[in-house]
Amino acid sequence: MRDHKTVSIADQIFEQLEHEILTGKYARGELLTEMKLSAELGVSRTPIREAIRRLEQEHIVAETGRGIVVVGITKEDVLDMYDIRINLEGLAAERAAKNISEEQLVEMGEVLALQKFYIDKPDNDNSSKIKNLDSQFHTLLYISSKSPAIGNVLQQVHRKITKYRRASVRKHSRAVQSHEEHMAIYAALEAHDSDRARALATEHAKNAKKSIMGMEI
Amino acid sequence: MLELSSKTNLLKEDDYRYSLQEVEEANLFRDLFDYDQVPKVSFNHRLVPMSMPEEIWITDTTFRDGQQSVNPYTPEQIENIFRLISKLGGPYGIIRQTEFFIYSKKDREAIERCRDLGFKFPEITTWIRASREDFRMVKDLGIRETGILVSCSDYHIFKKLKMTRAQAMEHYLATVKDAFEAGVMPRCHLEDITRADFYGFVVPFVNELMKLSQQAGIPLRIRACDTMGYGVAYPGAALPRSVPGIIYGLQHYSDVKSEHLEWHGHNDFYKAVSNASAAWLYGASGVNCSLLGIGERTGNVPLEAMVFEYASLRGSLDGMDPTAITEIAEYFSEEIGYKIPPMTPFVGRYFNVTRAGIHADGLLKDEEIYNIFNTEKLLNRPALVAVSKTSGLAGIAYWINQNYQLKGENQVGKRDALVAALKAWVDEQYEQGRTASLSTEELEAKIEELKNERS
Repeated sequence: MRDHKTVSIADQIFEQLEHEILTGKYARGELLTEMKLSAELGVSRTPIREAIRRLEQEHIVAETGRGIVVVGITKEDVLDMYDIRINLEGLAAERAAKNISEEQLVEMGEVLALQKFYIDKPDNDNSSKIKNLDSQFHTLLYISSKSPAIGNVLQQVHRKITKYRRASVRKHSRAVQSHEEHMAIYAALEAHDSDRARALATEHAKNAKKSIMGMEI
Repeated sequence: MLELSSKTNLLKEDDYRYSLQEVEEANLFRDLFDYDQVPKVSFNHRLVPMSMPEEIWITDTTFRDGQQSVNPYTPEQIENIFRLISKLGGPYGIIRQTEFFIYSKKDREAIERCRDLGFKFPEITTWIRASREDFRMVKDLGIRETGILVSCSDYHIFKKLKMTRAQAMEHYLATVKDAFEAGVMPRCHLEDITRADFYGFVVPFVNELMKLSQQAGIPLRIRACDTMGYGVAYPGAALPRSVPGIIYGLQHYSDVKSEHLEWHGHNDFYKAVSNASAAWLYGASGVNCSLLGIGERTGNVPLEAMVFEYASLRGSLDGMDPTAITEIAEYFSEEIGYKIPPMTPFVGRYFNVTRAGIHADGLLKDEEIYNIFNTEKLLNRPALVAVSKTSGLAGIAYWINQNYQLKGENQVGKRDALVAALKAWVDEQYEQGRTASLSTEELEAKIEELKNERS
């Protein structure tokens, strides 16, 4: 069912700040003040306050004696998150193979086709678009698992490692390989083959972790 | 039964449920609306609490209600205006939605062009006649929400639709069911609500709508439409004209949440803006507007007015870019050929132009004395003076400084010889019978002449 939820300013500010912290705009240890953010983002302090409260709950920022400080995510956090993916993504795919609808398969097919389109244009830096389509693919996978518990955990993890996912698909060879892995998972979902979907999704997550091992975290 | 209100954190009684009151004859509220007299406002002194929602926003009907009263816009014009609406509304979607027709090829081309821009806001919604096929068309276009007309006064039910109240309700509910079956969120436009029997029809009808929504698991939006501009915001005014009463009543007796409640008004009695603000203050999250207030008869709530109302009430523009208002005004004037009345707030040619000499003197000393706010910063429209027969030396000096963008030491003062010479010439023009203000071109030509004489 299409989402009819109202989007609040506080939610939007939270998403924006979370993205900016996780992609490195605000460095670990940097002090954030409501006034500074209010001026930068052009909104009143009320949604800023609400967003900071949520970021604190996510342990992305922390209240210290000096004020609100950016915590971001550590190297250990990143590796842990990839391990969570390795362990959970297979389960999501197994459930999705059982529960995915025709409509969702069509949508997934369109996402993969568009992803291939951008990957086949290596001259431009389409890594942002490719990463976004990667997110869409995984979101569809989690939704079609029909397990909000699994889906919510994986969505959060995916969001938090967004910087590394983007860096990973900047390498053309990894982008190509990742897409092939998606296509294989898609075929397993189409065939409603739970075991195969689980195995392929777990392998995909392991390869994703390998691809970031050489990076500066 | 008592329950704790999440709004007030106080115990409240589970409210009485109003049921449909069928009537033999239309209730036209003749005590208030005698067609041969000016409509009257009555008071019952029932004060309802102000309850500004956590989030408020603006929705737009430029391409629908706005377009019904002017020549149709081309798809390209719609796309350009859409861009400007998005720019004005800012990244957080304070201008949240805009509605389109879908019937003609041009309508659908316009939707495609706007959608291809990929903006998050405003969201594209539609307005339809509401047949089953129309709902499917909306869904096929990938649109989430559509407006449908559910006229709620006996003026419309009896005289236009030729139905009884029960028949009208049944007809509307069937239509809404079709919307839910198609998976589309309906936005029910309660047309002519300020002449409707609020407790005898509106509340019972909305209660049924809410039941359907709950069963379908899809929310619905209620748009309270003051179709003829009869609404009033006076505290203690009685229904059906009371805007606070309508908003409070829909929330209190029909459990409509703020985020699903919006106000749509017209300006027939000069109350469009204050009524829209009242709707926000008393609990509606949305106010529906059109650019420059262009719309039926005296027009809709001007969107640009509500931009400033928002900032006044919330203490922040929350990302909106009001300089886009000036771009919008220029686009409508130059591209579309719409003549904006010159004294229109924020967009008229003279909205921040001072004519009186004594006021110009104040402006010269400190712009803030006779300018409402920093119009140059917020609207890209520096405060100006018009040079006319009442202009004094200060006004003329101010005009020269603004026109030639002279700053600091380069500015001329009212005692400057050039200013005195120009003033003498201006006075002569009006002594010879001139009545209109002097144009920029005339003044520049005269200044050039005077400078040459002096050098």
